[in-house]
Amino acid sequence: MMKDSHSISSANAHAIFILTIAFLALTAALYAPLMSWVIILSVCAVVVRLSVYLGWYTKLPETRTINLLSVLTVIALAWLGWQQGLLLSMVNLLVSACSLKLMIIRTKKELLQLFLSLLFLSGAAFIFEQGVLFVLLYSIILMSLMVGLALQFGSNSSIYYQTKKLTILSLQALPIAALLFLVFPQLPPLWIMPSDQNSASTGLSDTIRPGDIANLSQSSELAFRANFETIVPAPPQRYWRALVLEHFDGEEWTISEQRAKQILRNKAYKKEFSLTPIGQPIDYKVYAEASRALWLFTLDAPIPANKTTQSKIWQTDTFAFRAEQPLLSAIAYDVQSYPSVKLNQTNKRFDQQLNLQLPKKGNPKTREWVETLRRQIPNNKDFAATVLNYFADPVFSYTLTPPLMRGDSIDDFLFEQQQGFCSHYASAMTFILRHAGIPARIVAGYHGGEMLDKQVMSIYQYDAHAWVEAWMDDEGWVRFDPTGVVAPERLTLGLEAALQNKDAFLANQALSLRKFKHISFFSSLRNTLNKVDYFWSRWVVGFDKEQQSDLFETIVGKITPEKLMYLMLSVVAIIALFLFILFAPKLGSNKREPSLTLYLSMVNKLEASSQCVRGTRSPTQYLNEVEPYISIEAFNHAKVITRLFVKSQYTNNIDSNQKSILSKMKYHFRKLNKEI
Amino acid sequence: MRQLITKRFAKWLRKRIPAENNQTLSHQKIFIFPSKFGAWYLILCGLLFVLGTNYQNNIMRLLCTFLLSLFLLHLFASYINFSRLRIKALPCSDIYASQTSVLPVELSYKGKAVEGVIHLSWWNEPDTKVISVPIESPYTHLVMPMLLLQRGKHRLGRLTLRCDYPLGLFKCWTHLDLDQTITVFPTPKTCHVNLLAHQGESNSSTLTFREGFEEFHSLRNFQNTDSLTRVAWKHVAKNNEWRVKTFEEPMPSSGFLTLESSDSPDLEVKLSELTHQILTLNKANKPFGFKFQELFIPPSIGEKHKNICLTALAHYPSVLDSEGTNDER
Repeated sequence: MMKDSHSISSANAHAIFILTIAFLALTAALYAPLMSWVIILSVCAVVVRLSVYLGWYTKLPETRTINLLSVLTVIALAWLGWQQGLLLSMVNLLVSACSLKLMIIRTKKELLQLFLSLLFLSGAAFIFEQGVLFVLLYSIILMSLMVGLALQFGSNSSIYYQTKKLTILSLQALPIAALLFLVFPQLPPLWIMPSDQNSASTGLSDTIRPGDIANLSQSSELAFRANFETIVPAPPQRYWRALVLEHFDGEEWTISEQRAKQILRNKAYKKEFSLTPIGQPIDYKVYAEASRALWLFTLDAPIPANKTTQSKIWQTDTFAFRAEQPLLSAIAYDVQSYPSVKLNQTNKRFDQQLNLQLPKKGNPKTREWVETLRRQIPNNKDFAATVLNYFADPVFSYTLTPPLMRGDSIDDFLFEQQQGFCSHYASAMTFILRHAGIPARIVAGYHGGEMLDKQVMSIYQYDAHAWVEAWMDDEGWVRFDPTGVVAPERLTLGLEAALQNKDAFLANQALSLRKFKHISFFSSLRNTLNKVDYFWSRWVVGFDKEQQSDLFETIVGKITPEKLMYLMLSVVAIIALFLFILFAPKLGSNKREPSLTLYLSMVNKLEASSQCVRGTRSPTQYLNEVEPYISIEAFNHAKVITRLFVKSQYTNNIDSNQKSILSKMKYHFRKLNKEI
Repeated sequence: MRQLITKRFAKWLRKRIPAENNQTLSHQKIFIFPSKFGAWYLILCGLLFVLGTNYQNNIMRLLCTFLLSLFLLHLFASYINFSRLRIKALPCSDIYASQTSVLPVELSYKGKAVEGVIHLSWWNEPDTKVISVPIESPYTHLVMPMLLLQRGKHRLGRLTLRCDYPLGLFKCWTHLDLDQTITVFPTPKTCHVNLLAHQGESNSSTLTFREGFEEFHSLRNFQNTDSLTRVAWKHVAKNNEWRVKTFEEPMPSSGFLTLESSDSPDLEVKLSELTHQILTLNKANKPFGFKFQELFIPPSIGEKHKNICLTALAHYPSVLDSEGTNDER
């Protein structure tokens, strides 16, 4: 293939054109992980290629120029990629290599190299996106790559023709691919891959700065879905815990360093927290979207429902699940939550010591107010209830666009502004409780969820929420949600209902379908899209070992190695059968032409009736030979058939010609049969 | 060692793919294996699988299985496309030792079209040229260049046909013996034409022609009545244009060519010079007789006459049984 010195070894111009377009689309789809200069480089390469293709420009850049450029690119990537992490620099490197290669492609060999790189790139792109629409886009890109390749190897240069052919082949490949996917072993990661730690995680943030946020960014992006097996918790109970913030520096709440160390220490000693369950569990499976973060979402108090989930997650001492590595792709895990369990099974002293921390100074008004109140109510429970009740005062209002509160933000919030969203209320209440000597912390997560159908709940980014947990002696951690006191609708009906000003909901998302919920067309469109998306994440993105073995079990019953072997063999057999059905009719096509078959069966007939054997005689010779032995009518038909047969052998190979000859031959053959 | 393996393989091939002039490719004849590119493709699939496993990314795994099933389907698509091909050797023109000549070959198909590019080369010949032809119509004609160094009877080797259609993932190939036995004439060597009178008629009155009377004149388009010797094969091979060399009219004369017509002491040179003389006379359309070993041909003209004479030279020292040689097929 490589050493042909013929012009066939040069790259086909149409093939390069198609690959160029596919490369452009790929770069556009990958814009997020790419550095801007890499995008500019690839656009330049595309422009160079297209102008060569369109004949505006005839000379390709010289190899020397490109070599120089590639050295510069590598230097730039090494310099800038330092902060980017291995994964992103690799993707950038691959894209820039493709752009440089694209500019100088001349030979078929180079074209094939580019094809393989682009194929790998479009595969690697799935690290960043796995949604249905993206997969659809990448499939189109993949198809055009294949069409480019087909143009290189085929003799028919019509893009339409090659696309049609490849589409048929791909449609045939899909069932085999799906079958293979279902039975392919679902292995655990072989080694930990680099991830782009520097790019921000989406959705929840691991810090809360109530005073700094003037405008809570809302997004109608999906955070995760939950599929409940039996009981679906009522709306007010839908508190999805993600992470616990235990350190306050006067301005922002963060994950406590001691807590982070504790997790690392426990991991090192493999001392995983395990909950002792009491009461009835709620069983559900969560399909979390890729968030590039470690935290997972559970209802209180969770334990992993099976071994697969156990291997994927780590249970922390804050009753939350953590993923083993940042969620670069969607993940599914099974949970059993025991709502009746008291959250007191952790190290009480450690938790209490951690959650009484406050900065030495700041918010004097609040401190004074707390001290006064605490003197009146020494009982912890009563005190917490009183504080919670304090927010019921109608002067407090719920808004997503509160004014900025700098400096002593809690003083400002409690006594001046008196308006805000969940973070403000949770932050203020935690501060109050801590100053009163009650261990308290902020829990960040989601509250709410929209039912997709009877069992499946979708939770969106705008459902993000923060609430308070306080240590109530024997009961352990008890949840208090001041937001629920200020705006009860937030907990029962969701965010949209809680806002007095409806326009504020998803104000920055003009085109979100969620916003047009009241128009029935958009509502049903959104619903359909959601269902497709759920199906996708459930059966494709979230398909895991557990589901695989469930599937096997429904087919063969209890799994034994022997049964598994039979299952694999039958899969192979099914694929073979499928291939046989597809290709068997075509395999015989070269064996014998129909006219020959017909002629030979006529010879058989004549030989049987006349005892005159054809042997090696030519058709015309045999006709003369057989003439005396058969009737005149039969001879006439035989003569026509012979003539037609000879004609079919020497005539143009045009289908319509052959068909008319064949139909005439058939007609005379029937007549001949009657005569004999 | 290598030779032994080749020999064994050739023997095996003889049994598996017997010689035949007109061949359809059946499953016995076709070999199919992933190409180098196909191997890289498979490595890429493996990489995607590892990547998909490590990132626990099902879409990547799905892509990997999709690419694998596409690979599997292409195995069949490649094979079926190739198996539709028919190949036939066409009669070749005069071939002279040590001169590049060509074997015309016809590639065809009946019914569903064969697509892609067919690469042809001589099997087991180290510096064979690869001829690549895209198949665009039911009949495709091409010429395979060949170089035979020795005069005499030659059996042509196997022709390797290869096809990468549709995506170059697989290469289908076959080694076909097109059952071609050809007579290679001695290399013409320029000399004077030396026609001798027949000994029975007069005592060696020698008629000599000066070299140069049959000067090359021009090229014109081929007509059906033209002799194949005058076709400019280089043109056919290069541009697929059938052109004929024309020469200036010679003077008429008559006589005999014998081994004595050449005065070189070396036998091979003698044969070469005789070849040249026969060709010269034939081009000039001059009748000449031929006396060689036991062969005696009275003066005559024409292609057939020329071929009998040249064949006798080619086969020297073995004697032809009759004029029935097989080069005018």
